[in-house]
Amino acid sequence: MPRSTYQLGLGFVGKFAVLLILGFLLLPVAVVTIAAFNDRAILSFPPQAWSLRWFAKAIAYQDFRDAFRNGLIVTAWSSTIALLVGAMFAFALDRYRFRFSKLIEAICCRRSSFRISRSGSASSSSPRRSAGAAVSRWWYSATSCWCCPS
Amino acid sequence: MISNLVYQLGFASSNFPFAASLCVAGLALTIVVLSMLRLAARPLDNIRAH
Repeated sequence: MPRSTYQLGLGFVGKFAVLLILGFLLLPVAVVTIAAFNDRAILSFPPQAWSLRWFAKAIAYQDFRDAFRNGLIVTAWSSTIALLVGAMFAFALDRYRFRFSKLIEAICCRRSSFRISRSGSASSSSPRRSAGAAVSRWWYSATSCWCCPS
Repeated sequence: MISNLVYQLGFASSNFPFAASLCVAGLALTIVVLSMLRLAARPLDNIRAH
């Protein structure tokens, strides 16, 4: 079925908005990454000369090593505690019925509206794919890169 | 921790390239650690829900 001019325009505006948001989010990362290869201590953009000396200095910097090690320790403990608490809560939510359990399940799991397969495709209960399913499909595919097993 | 360090170096000491290198190095090291954890957790892929 051919799409109308309104739908085409809406698709173009949507893609432009996504590009704008991605640019807004990724531009600081690009600027900081380029600035890290600057040869001089005084910031010049774009850099006049490229160098890796700041990275050598960063690796040798004791405060950075301590901060990174502390970050790893905090992350390990918080992940472990979150995993244990989350697993226990998921078990209780699945096996028992208590006040607001259905509401919590609807908010956290969204099992009543759609399911997500391991390949990342969402199947909605309604014939039309909902926006929530699309967002969740995108989120699943984005987070499965690093976090979830593929 | 690292963010305080970056803030101090970038804005208090005005050494922006060094602060930027700390950011990039921290990001790269985090990605390396996450990749190693994912490799270590690969046997868990075989677990199926019942």
